[in-house]
Parts: sequence; structure tokens; C-alpha cells
Amino acid sequence: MKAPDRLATGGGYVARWALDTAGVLLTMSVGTFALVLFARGDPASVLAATRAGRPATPEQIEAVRVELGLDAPAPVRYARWLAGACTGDFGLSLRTNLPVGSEVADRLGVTLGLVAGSAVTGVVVGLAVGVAGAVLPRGVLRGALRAGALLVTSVPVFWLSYLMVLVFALRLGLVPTSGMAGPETWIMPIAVLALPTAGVLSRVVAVTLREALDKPYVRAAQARGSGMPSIVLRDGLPNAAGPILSVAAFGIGGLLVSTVVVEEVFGWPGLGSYLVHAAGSRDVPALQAATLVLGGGFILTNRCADLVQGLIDPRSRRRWAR
Amino acid sequence: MARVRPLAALVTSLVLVGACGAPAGHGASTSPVLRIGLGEESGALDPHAFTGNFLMVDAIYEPLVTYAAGGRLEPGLATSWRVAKGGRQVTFDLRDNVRFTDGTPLDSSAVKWNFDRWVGNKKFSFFRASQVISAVDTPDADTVRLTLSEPYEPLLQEMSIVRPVRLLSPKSVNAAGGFQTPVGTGPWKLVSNSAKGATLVRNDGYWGTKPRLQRLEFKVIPSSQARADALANREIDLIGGSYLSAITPVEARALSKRAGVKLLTGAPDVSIMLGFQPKGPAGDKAVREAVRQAVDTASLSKALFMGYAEPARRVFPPEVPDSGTDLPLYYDQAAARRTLDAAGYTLSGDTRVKDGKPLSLKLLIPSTPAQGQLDPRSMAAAIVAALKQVGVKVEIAQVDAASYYDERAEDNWDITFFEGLGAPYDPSGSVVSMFTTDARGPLWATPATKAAVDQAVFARDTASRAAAYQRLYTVVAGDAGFVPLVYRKRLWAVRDAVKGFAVPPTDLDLGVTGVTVK
Repeated sequence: MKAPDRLATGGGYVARWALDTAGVLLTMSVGTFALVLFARGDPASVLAATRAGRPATPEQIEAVRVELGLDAPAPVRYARWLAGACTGDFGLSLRTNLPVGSEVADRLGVTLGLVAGSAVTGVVVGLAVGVAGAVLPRGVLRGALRAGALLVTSVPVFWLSYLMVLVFALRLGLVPTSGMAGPETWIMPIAVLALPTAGVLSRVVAVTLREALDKPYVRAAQARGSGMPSIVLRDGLPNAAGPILSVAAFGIGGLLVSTVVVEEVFGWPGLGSYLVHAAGSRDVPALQAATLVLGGGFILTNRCADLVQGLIDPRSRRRWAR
Repeated sequence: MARVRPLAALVTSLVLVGACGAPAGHGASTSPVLRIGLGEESGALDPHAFTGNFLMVDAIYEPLVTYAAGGRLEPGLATSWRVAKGGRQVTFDLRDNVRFTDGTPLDSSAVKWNFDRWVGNKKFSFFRASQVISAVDTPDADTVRLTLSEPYEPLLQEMSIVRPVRLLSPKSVNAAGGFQTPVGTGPWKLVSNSAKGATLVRNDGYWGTKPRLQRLEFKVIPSSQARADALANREIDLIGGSYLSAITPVEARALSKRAGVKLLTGAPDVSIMLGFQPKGPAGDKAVREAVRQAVDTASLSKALFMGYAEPARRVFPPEVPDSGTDLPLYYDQAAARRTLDAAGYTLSGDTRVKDGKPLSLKLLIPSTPAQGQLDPRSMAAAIVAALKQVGVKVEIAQVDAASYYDERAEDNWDITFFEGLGAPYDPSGSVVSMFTTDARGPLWATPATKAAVDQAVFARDTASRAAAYQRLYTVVAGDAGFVPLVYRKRLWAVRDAVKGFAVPPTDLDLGVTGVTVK
């Protein structure tokens, strides 16, 4: 009976939120650290074999174990690792021998740029196509938009990537095949990522907006003589906002997953490809840091969304107080 | 007179401009830059660590001895060397007037400082030279003398490899001895190195033949298909090599048909082989012989490698020194069936059975290919199909690529693929791990193979060494201890505008000294 009372104040709510968030993050850090313990193959043995290009001898494996500090008990290693992580010190990458902290920071910037660019593009295009789909009369154009949206959401990202390279870079020579440099190099990666997001979003916008436009208040607005643009903006979209926002948020989360493929195909040095290479070469420090940053990012984003929702709507605070 | 002088000056300057203009105009049509595809970021370019792209390390740092085509050893930073005391002492005469790019002279103390970073160091224990060198002495500034705990003939060849024997400037470390900046004596100097790529510029103070290009720009493109596309689209000039930006056979075939691109193939330095785990059904020699007879290596080369491979007939391709003589081509499925019939494996349905147990082999493969390599799953599928035709069942067991070597050291498989390390490491770099009984997960190890390896590695002269290697190969083939599958050709590709590029002696070299770009 007491908990809801305390939660009734905004300050108590925020404090409780912060404590919970810290708990979740700490649990995730244990999981991230433990991932490597459960991975198939002893990391010291794997690394020793990689260096030698063949199965390593027990002495070589032992030497690597000592070099990596893997001879200490797991809880001690976890404490050392967490203490380092708090200061951004994740040790040296086994693949590049460079500080993992600065590698992850550089690559996070690349990935966030890619995600931000495609999220904005995807939402703008998705809204525009969706609104067109809702207000256009039934016909060829509306059908074409709908078919296009279904097509871009159904094709695999890697296939779309190579197809675009083939057409726009190799055949037409409009853009470079890969790399991250001038604005022209951003076009294809962003297009590949934004199209599926835009496709899904446009369908949801078209359907929910059309429903909203059937409501009596829209007919009333039409009777008052309001034009279509103002009806869509003032009456239609705000009332269809709920499902649209949740689909957009979901789509942007999905972008993070697709960046792995896109970064690889277009040669962008982002966090997704970093994680893949770290996993492939059992680069333990890099793998742990990248997982921690990506996982922490996901958790924080969701928790922040909860926080905002809770502050706006006190009713929702009770839901997770239990 | 006063009027003539300005006129004379004008005429003179016009002539000068004309004279300078000719080469400058000619130069404008050639690019001073070569753009090179890179499969993966280089990482720190420390020659005494395990990271750093091999070819960039090769461009920046030099060895005492260099490896030329066919395994010939030529002077590098040492102009000559003498082996004395029955192979227990090697003395190198250093090249005069060589400086690191930071101005530090290359003398015997600099060489000793480099050797002290890896000799006897546990981290390098897989590198035999680090174990057998017992002392590094500097009788004078131009001479370095190595004392060995036992005669070790491959030492000189091992002095030519990339890591850890290349020479770093003793000034490029911090107070604690930690590596700081890549400074060597080589033809190129590092300007920048990041996740996107790296830039090297010509070392104008280089002692040897200076490169004709001024700059090398390495561009990281992780996907091999994307690299081939970038080459075809004239965004980069050069790709290829196992350690730079590997080309798969499928991409090679596509590139060979493209206008404006030249595909180059180099003599193979690696055999792909099938090895056996003797603790299971493959412990029976008849099974091994039948497997060897069942696989059509000529078809493998054509169908899977698109012709960029040839049927293998040795443990190491002919280009590798001391690779012995050719073994027969074993493929003969009728003979394989006869072998199994004679050994009591009788056909029951699709699979042969002996003593009530079906003849089934577990084929261990990594689940993903290494950079630019053929997918191990297609190789595996071809083996499954071949063995099915003679009544041997094969189960494919895929393991995570990172832990593949580790799994190979366990007994939980019957057949798997093996490869040598390639030039300049072979044969000495691979025979110990492939054919000695104390190695983990060897290709084929018996007391006889171990004795032959010891005789080869510790041979005093080239004739007895060659004889010992030949004995090793004969013993292994006699046991049907492995199946030679294919020699993989080394693949490189350049744009037509790149002139003077030839496939380097090993895939670890960046041979661009004479290269120009139109």
C-alpha cells in the first residue's frame, strides 16, 4: 500500500527509476562478461591457435592465459573489468592491439550517424508515402505506392545493398561502390536502411490515417470548409499518432540490427561490423565492450522512454511499481 | 644593353618553363598514388606483436634476409652471413649507411635491441628461432652474431618472415619499452592508420631502389565482393593476396571477364589436404586409401575453384623449397570400392557396414570461411558426394570458425581439411605441427614421421635436408596418411592503368617498387 503513495510524487518516481535502471545495467554487465565464459572454446587457446595458425601447445596457451590475465578467478576478473569499463578503459583489442575504448567510441559515432540519417529519412518518406496512400483515391498510383512499400519491406537488406551497388554504382556510375567520405557516399547506405523502415511506416500511416479520416469530426471539419492539408495535419495525424509512433520506434530499433550488414557491405567502420569482427576473431575485450555499449544503449533508450511516459502519464507509473 | 637584358631574361625563363613543363605535363597523366583495397583494418603496426597487416609491416620494416621467388634467400639489411661451429653460430654483416626513418642508424646495437624483444620470449614460443637462439652478440657496429643452442638450418629462412624478426627503430618505444610509432628502414613510411584505412608515403631516404609512386592509400572494404566492385568501378587500383584483400574464385572469374581490369595468378604456395583422425574408423588404412581414391581432385579444381586451383600431388606445392616429388593422382572410384570390399566393408543399402557398424566419418569444418577463401561448406559437400559414391557416409560437423583449430586438437572428428602456412614459412614452419607426435592435432604423426621431421629440421646440409623431407613425404603417402586435394593459386587483380605490377614472391610482400599508375 505504501509504494504507490511514494510513487505519487515525481521525485520518488525518478529515484526509483534510477535505482532500477542501475540494477538492470549491472545485471547486463554480468551477462556480457559471462558470455565469454560460456562461449565454446577457451579464449586463451583460441587466441594462441590464431597467432600460431594451428592448434597451440599447452605451454603457448598458458602463456597467453597469463598475458590476458585469464588466470585470475572469474569474479576478480569481472571486478577488474567493470572498474576499467567505468572509466572507459576496456584494455587493448586482441585483433588490433589498440585501446578498445577509443575504437568503440569512434565506431559508435559512425553507427549513430548512419542510424540517425536513415531514421529521419525513413520517417519522412514513410509519412509522406503513407499520407499519400490515405488521401489518394483508389487507383493505379495508390496501388503502386502500396506494392512498392511491400516490396522494400520484404527484400533482404544485403540483397538490396548489392542490387543498388550494381545499378547505381557499377552500371550508372552515379555513386561510389563503398566507403564513407563525401555526401555521395551516404546515399546508398542510408537508402538501404531507410527504405524498409519507410515501407512499414507508410502502410501503418495509410491505414490508421484513413480510419481517422472516416471519423465524424473529420466530416464535420470538411463541412466547415477546411482543406485536406489542414484536416490531415490537425485532425488526422494527431489522432493516428499512437500506432504510428510505436511502429516508428520499433523500426528505428531494427535499424541498429541492419547496420551490421550495411556497414559490412559498404565498408563503414561502425560498431555493428566491429562487433561481428570481434566475435569472429574471439577478440574478448572488444566483444565485451561493444556488447556492453550496444546493450546499455538499448536498455537506456527503453528506460528513458518509460521515464518520459511515466512523467507525462502518472497512471503508467503503477504498472511497473509492482 | 639595358633593354636586351630583360628580353634575354624573358627568353631564358620561357625556355626554362618549357623545359620544366615537359616532364610536369607528362607527370600529370600519371598518378603518384596507388589505391589498395584492404580487407580489414590494419591495427597497430608493431613488428613484435601479433597485429598489424602483414603487407604494411613489410612495406615499413625490413628483415636481415629477404625471401625471393622459389624460396631463394637474398641479402636484406644483412649483406652477407656465415654459418660456423657446425651450425651453432650465424654471423650477419650489416648493410652500411642505413638509417631508420627517424634518423637512428641501423647498427648492431639496434639489431640486438630488436632481437632481445622476442628471443626467449614465451609469447613467441611457437616460432622456433626464438627458442634456439641462446645469445645475441655485437662484436662491432656492423656485425651481429647469433649463438644457437642446437644447429637449426631453417633459421636463415625464418629471418625473412614478417613478425617478429623485422627491425623497428629502438627510439620508437616509450620508457617502459612499449611500442609507440611504426618506424622502420623500409621503402615506405606510415602517415595515418585508422579503421577506414591507412596512408603510406615514400621514404625518400631509402637505401635501396626507391619506389616510383609517392603514396599508397589503403582503403578498408570488408566485403570481398564490394572490393571487386570497387576495383571494377575504378575506385581502387589493386586487390588480392591472402593477407591484403583476398579474392574468391567466383570473384576472380568475374574480374577476368571485365574490361579495364587485369586478373593475375601467382604460383600456389599452399596445398589444401584432407587429414585423418586415426582413433576412429580412419584408423583403418583401407578406409584412408579408399577416401584418397574416391575424391576427384581435378573436378574439385575446375568446379569449385573455377580453375584457380590444380590437383595437388604434394604436401607443399612445387614452388615451396624441399617439397619433394609428385605423388600419383589417386582418383579411381572402382579401386576405392575394391579396397573397401577387400577390407570387409560390405555394401548394405547406400552405406558400407563392417562388424555390424556402418562406415560413417565425421567431417569437421569451420562454419564460416576465412577472408576470401572458398566456403568450407562447399568443399565439404563435394567430399560428402564423392565418398557417398563408394559407400562411405560423411556427416558434416560445423564449428565456430574461431574455435576450429581448438576443436581440431580434440579427437571428436574423423576427417578435416588442412593447409600449410604458405611462403615464406614452409616447409619448416608447418612440418613440426603437421607430422610430429607431440604436436596438437597433427595431419599425420607416427614415430617414423617424427624421426624424418627431426632429421629434416636439424639437417646440416641441403642435400641431407632434401633427402629427409623426401623420406617424410614418402612415409606419409605410404601410410595413406593424407589426401592431397588442390593447390590454391594466389590471386591478385589490378586496373589496366597500373603498370609494372607482378604477383609478389609471397602473399606477405607488397611488391610495388616499380609500379606506376597511368
